[in-house]
Order: sequence, then C-alpha cells, then structure tokens
Amino acid sequence: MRLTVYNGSPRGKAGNTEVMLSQVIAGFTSITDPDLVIIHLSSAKQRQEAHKHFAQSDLVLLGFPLYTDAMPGLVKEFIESLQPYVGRDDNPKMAFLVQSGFPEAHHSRFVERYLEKLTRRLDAPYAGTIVKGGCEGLRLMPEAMNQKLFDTLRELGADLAKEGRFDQEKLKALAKPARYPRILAPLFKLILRFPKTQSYWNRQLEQNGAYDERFARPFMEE
Amino acid sequence: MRITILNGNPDQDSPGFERYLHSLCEILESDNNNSVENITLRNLQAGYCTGCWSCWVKTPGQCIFEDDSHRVCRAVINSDLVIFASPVIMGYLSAELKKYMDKLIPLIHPYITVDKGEAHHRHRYKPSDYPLGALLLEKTPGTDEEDIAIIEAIHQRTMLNLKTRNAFTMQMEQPVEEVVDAINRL
Repeated sequence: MRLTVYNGSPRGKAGNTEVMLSQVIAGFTSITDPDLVIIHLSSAKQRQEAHKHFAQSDLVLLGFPLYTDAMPGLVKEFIESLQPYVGRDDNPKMAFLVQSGFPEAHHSRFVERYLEKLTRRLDAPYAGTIVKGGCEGLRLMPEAMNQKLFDTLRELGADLAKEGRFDQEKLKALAKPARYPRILAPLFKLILRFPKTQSYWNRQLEQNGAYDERFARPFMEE
Repeated sequence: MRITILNGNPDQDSPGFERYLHSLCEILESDNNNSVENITLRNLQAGYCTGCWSCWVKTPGQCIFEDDSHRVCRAVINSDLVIFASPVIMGYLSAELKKYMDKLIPLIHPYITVDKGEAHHRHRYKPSDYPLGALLLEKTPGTDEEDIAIIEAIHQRTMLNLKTRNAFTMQMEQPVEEVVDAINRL
C-alpha cells in the first residue's frame, strides 16, 4: 500500500509538525511496510507536484500548524490543487494532524470540522484528525519531556496501520486540555502578568536586540 | 468610515466577482463620510508566511520580508471595517486571501493573555484601533450551506485572535444594496 505524508508546515523539516509526523510514521511503519512518500509543502516545487501523489495513494496523512485558526496559506494552495479529484472514484483515505501553540485543543476544532467536510467533498474515507495544543517549542524540549506525547503519537500511527483509523479515545486523551475551566481565567490572567511567563518570547527578543521595541506599532497613522 | 476590502479572488477572468466589488465600492464612496480602498491581492507581491516569528521577535510589528503584506497590514490597522472577500474554493476562502490573513499576525503580539476564558495573543495596537471584520463570499459550484457555516465559524475565531469580531457574513447572491445596508447599520 502507498502512504503519502504531506507536511504542511511553512517551517518544513525544521518545524514541530515534522517532529510529530515522524512519530506517527514510526508507529505506522512498525506494523506494516508501506510504499512511503513524504512531501514538504513548504517547498514550492514539491507543492506544485503534490497533488499527483494524491491520486496514487491508498492513504494520505496531512499535518500542519494552526495559522490564524485554519490551515496555513500554502496548505490551502495544495488543497485547491485537489479540485480535479472531486468526483473521482477511489480517492485515498485521509488522516490529519493539526498542532498549535495555544495550550487548549479547542482552537483547532474549527478547522477540524473543515477537514472532515473536505473528505466528504472528495468522497475520501476519513481516518480522523490528531489535534494537539501547546506545541510551540516542542522541538526545543529535551526528549524525555516529549516521551508521553511521542508514545501516544506512535500508538496512533500503529492504530492507523492496523485499524485504518485513529482511535477516538486516544485522540480525546491526547487533545487535553480541551478548554480550561472559565473560573481559572482571572488567575491565569494574573499569572501571565509576570514577565517570566512570557520568557519564551522575551528570550528571543533579547537575543535579537529587539526587546525594547517589542510593543512597536509601525503601521499606525495619526 | 474607512473601509478596506481585501479582494481574495484569484481569477481575473471571473468578471462577476470584480463587478460586484466595483459596484459596492461605488455606492460606499458616494457617501462622503466613507473612504474605501479595494485591494486586489492577486496583483500584490508577497510570499507565504514562513513561520519565522521575526515579526514578533526581530522586527516587532512587521514582516521581515519587505513585501506588499506591509501595505495590507497598514490598511487593515487603520481601517474601521475590513471586508474579507473571496470565492469559496474547496469549501474555504481562497489561498490568495489566506496568504495575506496569515501575514496579519504582526498586528498582534506574541505574549499570551486570557480572553473569553481562552489563551489568546495580546493586542499590539490599542484595542480600539482594531477594525471590525466582515465576510463577503461568492458561492461556486459545489458550495453548500455547511461550507458557509464552517467558514463563518473559523472566521469568528480568526477575528477574535485579531482582537475584534466578525460583524457580518454575506454572500454575493445578495444584492449589493443589502451589503451597503449592513455596513451602514454598523
């Protein structure tokens, strides 16, 4: 069988999507040995050819980071290139992975609805969507901190190979927290006032000598 | 009112879409209180967002690539209303429009805050500087009501993250005058 994995991250191989997809692939290939094609949509050349692999696949896995609550623009360009396959028989089964920097999975549920509809538009069987928040900086974490996440991603990959779809319970567990209880909002708001909680960004701003400019409003007209 | 239309129609050979926006602009401009800018995105030059975060941590507030996304950001933040106009392609806004929506993130700040009980990015400009958003969609063959509902639901989220809200969602099968009325009611 042929599995095509589309990495829709604008950061390509250097991004968090790559790290997560490679775990799912590892789980999948531990069960079966597919004819595997990996495409990085961030490459303009690969993006333009990407749809040709779609028709030749039995299963496709499309992963991307959440960009303004949906797919990145370049992933939308790829999806538009699938237009000729609407109404075609035997479109491949489709699985997805959506990761975001926001801690809650809730942010990604809206585009998940779009992806499920996309499979119906293409008359392609739907294998499910892995949704995971809190992924910014994942690639910078020590391996041990990601171990549980990676184990689950490999299990999901293995399930996909064995059952032909992701396990719903595992998807749900992985997506936690779905949302935070509203009652905690004032507390979080308070905590986030401490500069240390924004250190991920402050460190980069300082490294670039841009810390003092961090609140710049370059486009404001009076 | 200062109004910016982001024209996300990728196809210069679909005259209906262009005509619709043209007559919308004409009617809006006939009111001397309005200034309207109709930006045809397909005529601009910019690459896709590369996710480098330079606009947050290196050149705060602007894309490090000096492309036409700067012009779009400037128009958006100085408007009272931004109309996101697009044909529905494969059930969503065009890639052309999404490209420039991705490149609006310099308008917000990397810091995380809590909004409506959820984690969101902090505002960069004054909260009152952010324009209202609106959707203007053209159905294409295969577009159904579920597609429209999904696009609207996602757009409401996108507007929340742009520190504003989606004021209305309308379709080009409605007469232009109805869109004008909706704008005048804001």
